[in-house]
Amino acid sequence: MSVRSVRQAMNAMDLGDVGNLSVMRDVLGFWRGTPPTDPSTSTPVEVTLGEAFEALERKHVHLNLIEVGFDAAGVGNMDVADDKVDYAVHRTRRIYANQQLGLGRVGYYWIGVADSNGYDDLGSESEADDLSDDWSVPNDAVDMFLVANISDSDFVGISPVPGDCSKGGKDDGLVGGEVDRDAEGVSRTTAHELGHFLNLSHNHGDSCPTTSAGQENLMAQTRCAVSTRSSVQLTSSQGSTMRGRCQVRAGS
Amino acid sequence: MPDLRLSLERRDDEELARLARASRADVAKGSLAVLARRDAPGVQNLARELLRGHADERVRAMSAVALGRDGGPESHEALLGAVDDFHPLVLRRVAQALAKVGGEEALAALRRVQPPPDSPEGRDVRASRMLLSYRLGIPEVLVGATETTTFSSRRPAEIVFGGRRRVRRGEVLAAAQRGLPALSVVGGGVRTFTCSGHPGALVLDSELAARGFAGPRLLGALLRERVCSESRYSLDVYLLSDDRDGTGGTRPRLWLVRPSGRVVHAGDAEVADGRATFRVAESVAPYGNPIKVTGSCDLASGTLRIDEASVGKPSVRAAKAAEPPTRDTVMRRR
Repeated sequence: MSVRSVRQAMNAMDLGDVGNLSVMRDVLGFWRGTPPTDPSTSTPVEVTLGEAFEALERKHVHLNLIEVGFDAAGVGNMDVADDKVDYAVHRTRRIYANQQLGLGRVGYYWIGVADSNGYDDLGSESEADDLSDDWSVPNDAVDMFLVANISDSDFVGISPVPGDCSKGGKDDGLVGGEVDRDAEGVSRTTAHELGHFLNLSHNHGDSCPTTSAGQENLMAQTRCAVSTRSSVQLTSSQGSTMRGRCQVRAGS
Repeated sequence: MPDLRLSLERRDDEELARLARASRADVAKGSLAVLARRDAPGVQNLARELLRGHADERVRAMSAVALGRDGGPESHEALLGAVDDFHPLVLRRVAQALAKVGGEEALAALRRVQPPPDSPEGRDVRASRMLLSYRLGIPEVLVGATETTTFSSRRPAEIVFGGRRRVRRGEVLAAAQRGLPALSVVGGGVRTFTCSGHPGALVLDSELAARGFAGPRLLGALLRERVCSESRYSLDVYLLSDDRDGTGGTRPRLWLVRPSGRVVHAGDAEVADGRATFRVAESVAPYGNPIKVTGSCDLASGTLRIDEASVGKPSVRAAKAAEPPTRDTVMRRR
């Protein structure tokens, strides 16, 4: 079945086909209901409904974005934080589309500072474990936590490789990063960590890749990447690995 | 302002040190983090300077984290001085750093600060005092009572100790040293394992026999492979023991506790004739799947014999993760 209308898209995302909806929020996954700002040009990115429809026609993955402590004072302007997250959704969709993997439904969840038990700020990988053990969304989408801040020098996001196929286990969620970074950095980290969850390892060992293609790969560690803007390429083999994962749904 | 599209990782130490003093918190914090990861020369001096003087709490917190990887006397002193930082986030990270590298003065300093016990900083200060108690052998704060479930899985999977997978011991030792600089571990004290498909390693204190089990003890730690972490292996849980039942150290309790203070597993041991026979079969949901690990350890040599090691799935009655509210719901309430 092809997806040619918003109603078909809503059905494909198991959101039903009636009621009020926002195309930008419900179909394209932008919380602010408007295309996010491209940090390079400071203008809104160009998006089409067609790319969301195509994503659902392909193999695709649904995403739960669980925002933790975005009401913390350090986050500052919430609209700016939301814009960064929307940009991360946009970039992830585009990066994965190059390997025929779609980003489907994007759900937004909220753990305020008062309920976060301090995990709006992660000080170690084991605190990331605490967070994903404490919270889980019981549906068929991947649980990605986005936190206000990370106070650890060893990671900017963290994910099991691969993530669990079902909820309730030790590796059923990932931390897609902290919002307290530049938008391009946030977006690359979320796409990179989702890649880990879908069974991609780094494309190098202790030493960084020596080729330009290797350094421009999404799965190069941050220390090896040329830039957070350009180092988002995926090989066909990596695409095939991700499309074969249990979290990936068949196209509509 | 630097071009942030160029990864901070690709900048040299000098530029990063300059950026770490920037007023923009994300740039300063990120730059310091990269320098700490590199163990760059002078990073401890810089971290001490920023811990004392940076206006943003996130940068001061990252400075405390960097100093917690060091263990030198000047870093220890700087951390002690920062216990009175007005911001709870800084206190949390200072407390955690002191738990790794602090001595009795750190225990006294953390005893003095009294954040609300139910707050994140209260929890972290308590967890740090607890870890210091076990590290230093001072029975001040012991692991708290926790509801556990006992292993009873009918179709367990084996936790494989050793096996064919090649793990670089040097990498594990380096990670243990970073995570817990005060723990004395030698290569022979590293045991690798695979649990539910995930590699890990047990590191044991090289002075197991010398210290006895009459008081609280830090016996070692479990490290976990994290493919996406810069150091690949990182601290998962501490292995602690105490003699809360007053057995003179012959029947200590065992605890596997995350750095946050969360108990994941528990068990007990019998110590006799230079040998500890142990059984760990209590687990705390949803933080640890049910396990049963039994065996013995020669305390003089650290030689470990595993008799049984199994992991199961959580019981249907075990505590579950909570469901976060949708953002729509929360925003409508406001």
